[in-house]
Amino acid sequence: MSERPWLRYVQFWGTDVDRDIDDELRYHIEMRIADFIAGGASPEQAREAALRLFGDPHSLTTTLRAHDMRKLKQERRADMFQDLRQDVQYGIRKLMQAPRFTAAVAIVLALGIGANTAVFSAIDAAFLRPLPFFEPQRLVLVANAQIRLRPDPKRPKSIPELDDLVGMRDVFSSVAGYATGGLNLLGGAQPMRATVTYVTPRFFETLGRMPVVGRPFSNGEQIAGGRNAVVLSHALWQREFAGDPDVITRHVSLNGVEHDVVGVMPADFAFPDQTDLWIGLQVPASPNVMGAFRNFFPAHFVGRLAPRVTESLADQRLELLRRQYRPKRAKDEAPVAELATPLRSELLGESKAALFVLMGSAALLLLIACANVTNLLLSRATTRQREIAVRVVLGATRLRVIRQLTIESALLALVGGVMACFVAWACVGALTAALPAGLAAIAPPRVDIRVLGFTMLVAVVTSLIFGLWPAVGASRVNLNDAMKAGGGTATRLRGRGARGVLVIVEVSLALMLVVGAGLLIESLRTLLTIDSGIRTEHLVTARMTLPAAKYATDAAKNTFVSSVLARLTAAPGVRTAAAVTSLPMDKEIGVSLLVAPEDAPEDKTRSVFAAYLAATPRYFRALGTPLRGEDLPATSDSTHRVVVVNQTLAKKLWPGQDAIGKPFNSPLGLHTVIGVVGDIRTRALDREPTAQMYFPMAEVGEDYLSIVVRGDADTKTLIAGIRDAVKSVDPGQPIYLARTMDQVAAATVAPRRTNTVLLSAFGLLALVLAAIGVYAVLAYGVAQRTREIGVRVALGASVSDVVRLIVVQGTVLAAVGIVIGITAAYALARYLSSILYQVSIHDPVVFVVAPALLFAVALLATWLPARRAARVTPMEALREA
Amino acid sequence: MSRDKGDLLQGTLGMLILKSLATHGLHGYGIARWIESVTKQSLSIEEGSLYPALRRLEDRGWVDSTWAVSDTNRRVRVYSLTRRGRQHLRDQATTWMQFAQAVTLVLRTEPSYV
Repeated sequence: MSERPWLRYVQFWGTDVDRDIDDELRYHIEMRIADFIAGGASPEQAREAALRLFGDPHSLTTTLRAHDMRKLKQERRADMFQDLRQDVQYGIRKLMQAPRFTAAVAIVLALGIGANTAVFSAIDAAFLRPLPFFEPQRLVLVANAQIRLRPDPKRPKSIPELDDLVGMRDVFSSVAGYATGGLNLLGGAQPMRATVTYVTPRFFETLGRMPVVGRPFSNGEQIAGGRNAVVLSHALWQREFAGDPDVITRHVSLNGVEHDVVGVMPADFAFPDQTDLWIGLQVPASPNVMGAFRNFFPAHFVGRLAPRVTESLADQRLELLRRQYRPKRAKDEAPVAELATPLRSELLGESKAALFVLMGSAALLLLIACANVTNLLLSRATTRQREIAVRVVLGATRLRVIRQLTIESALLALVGGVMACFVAWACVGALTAALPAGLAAIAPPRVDIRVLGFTMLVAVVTSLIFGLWPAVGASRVNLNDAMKAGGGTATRLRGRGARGVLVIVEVSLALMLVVGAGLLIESLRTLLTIDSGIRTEHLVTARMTLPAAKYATDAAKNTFVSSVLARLTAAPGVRTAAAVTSLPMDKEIGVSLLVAPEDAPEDKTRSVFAAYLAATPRYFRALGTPLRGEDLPATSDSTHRVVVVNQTLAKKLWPGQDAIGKPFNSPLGLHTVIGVVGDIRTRALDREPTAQMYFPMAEVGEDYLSIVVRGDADTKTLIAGIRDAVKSVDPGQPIYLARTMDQVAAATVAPRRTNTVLLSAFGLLALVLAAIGVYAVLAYGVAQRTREIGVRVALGASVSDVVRLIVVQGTVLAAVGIVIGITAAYALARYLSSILYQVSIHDPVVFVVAPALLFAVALLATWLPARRAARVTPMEALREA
Repeated sequence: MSRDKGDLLQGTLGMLILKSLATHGLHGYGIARWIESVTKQSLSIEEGSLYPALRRLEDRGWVDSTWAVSDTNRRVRVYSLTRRGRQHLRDQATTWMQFAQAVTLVLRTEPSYV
């Protein structure tokens, strides 16, 4: 018994098994002895006879004891479940009796838990859920290697190539290269531009996934002169081939070249993202391959680490390999960091910081929600004091009261948690945008069983955070005070102090979130007000690729382009139409070429890299970019080859001089600068403009181009106009990525926008919750102090005195919260530095506006309680008493 | 104690206990005394075995027990028949009677060889 002291406690009102058995058997035997003695036997004989008749009392006791203990345990368990069920039923009844309170708490919790669930779904996708590959943790991306499409024995390798990597059998059990580009696809439901990924042998094997229909590429399909073969993505198969199981007997045409369809990959295999179909790369490659890449083959390499090989070992071996190809320079060079990167972290890229910021913010929001709910529960506990006192009087233990109240909290959290799932489910789409596209494609955030498990865990923990304190406090009832009319003053005062602390916590946490949101908004605003170099309004664009088979010569291409532009210019509502090789703020990788002023062709110090572009006349006018000098000509003149440079390039090549009229050298030959155009941000809105040069489209004859149209008609009409114009010139020519320039610009800042929107939503919610917190505690205080206020009024206090009483209280709470919050925000802001764009983490505007905003909201929240207090009359106060 | 008679009783002890409680509740010793007097001591029971049997009957819901105070002012556990126990006794008794009659009939008839 001593090892289970609680049993003694239980026995106070429960069963004592040993005593019962002892009493019962002893009674039996003693009665029998008494009967025998009454029948004339001596006490000794009687005892002996009685025991003989009875059997062995000891073994019987053991048997009965085992039975009774087992039964007792069962009963106790049943009782406990019974109690639990009663508590739950009672809790449900209590919550139903206060529907407004229940709804308010459930909504606050749903928002708090929902925000966490939603962000966790992204965290889960980004860090926890395994990627859809075989043993994905052993996959690495290898940097600093290349595939030469046309190996030339006369030009030795300068950096490692695929065969070197494949040769490192002790490091990589398997390795493959891939590169993504675009080709015109015929053979599906309609002509379209397909995103294709050229892959080297063993690509699918390296990742450990096989086609669901058909087979991967055979060896014969991956050597020069072999049959051209493609494997379709599941999405393309469904969309363009209606999921035809016999698709592997069909053929498709890519830029006019026939390919056999040999397989279809599973739906979750989206690697690299956006890939419509995979093509077995053949080396040396045909010129058609280059068509997909505009003379640049951006190969990536994915390797599977051999057993027991670590990333750092792979890193070291790759560094050795790298130096092998640079014997001269190897000594002076520092090692290149991270030649082998785990696939997941490579896909995740810079989003890691943003995800952690979001998760932290969601957690802060949940804490605020908890503080708010605790506040509500504390107020409610005070109003329920008499109910609890009655229960205590009727024999409920303190533990039982706490359990009852905790179960009520858990029920609230559960309701909140279930609602949170819907909140999260609605937000998952937005969270997808918070992940890099490459990762979202293979590991999209979703509300699945593990995310729901997380939600329920959060709900339970939450209920403990917000529920335990009020429950313990409420259980500590002073029966005397509670049963008296008016409630106990002592409890009430203590409760008010606790609520004050909670409001301060809420305000400070809310301020941290508002500051974070403010910094992100400021960052996005800075970004959006950046001069991209073009006027994006009333500007639409669409892309197309001219198949080499159909448009073999520069003349054919130029004729096509100029006819399309002529038709467009003639269309109503169109002001300017032009074509260019690569759009501003587009992700497309352009080529950079080494150029130098003509007077210093060999002077390496004066040569710079400049982005190569080609455009038709009026391109700059269409973009609204200022041009000094002459526009690009519509035709090429081999005797007078001309070029337009941007300001950055002009400054780099001819600092302090006028670039116009200057000749300069590039791999394309000698050109004369005829114009200087304003800087345009090419790669993305948040990338500094680079040096750029524009050659006449007529001279270079590009087959990969974007049409840009500026006009007064609405953008839909303008885009339709491009479609019609292209169709009327060549009905078989697809256009793709038709959109407004605003959309192009927005796409480059989409992840930042998502983060900003989410954090702003969190900040706004925090603000509202903090305001409700301030309001609730003051309103409660006014209600409790009606009598005091009435007395003050009766004694001659003016309305303004009373209002001041309340406002001062609210102001003090808010001010203390703001001081704490601003200190914490100042300390924590450095975690935002990596996701901010050109905004100081201690941006003075944000650090002034955010507290001011919060203070204003808090003052607003004191307004209603203060007005209520001002209307208290002595009569009313007396009635209250 | 006699093992062979005891064995015979194993299945029927429960029935005897139920019968003993048919009119009013009894404590363990009372049950033993009742069986003793009714059977005129022709059935010898090891009295201790009453108690495990009572536990079994209680577990099956045929018997209920409460603690009471005896005339001699001692704590005694009083057993009584539940409604289900009464029904069970009725069914058991019927079956037993029919069985006993049949066996009696058989034992009283001389075998006749055809």
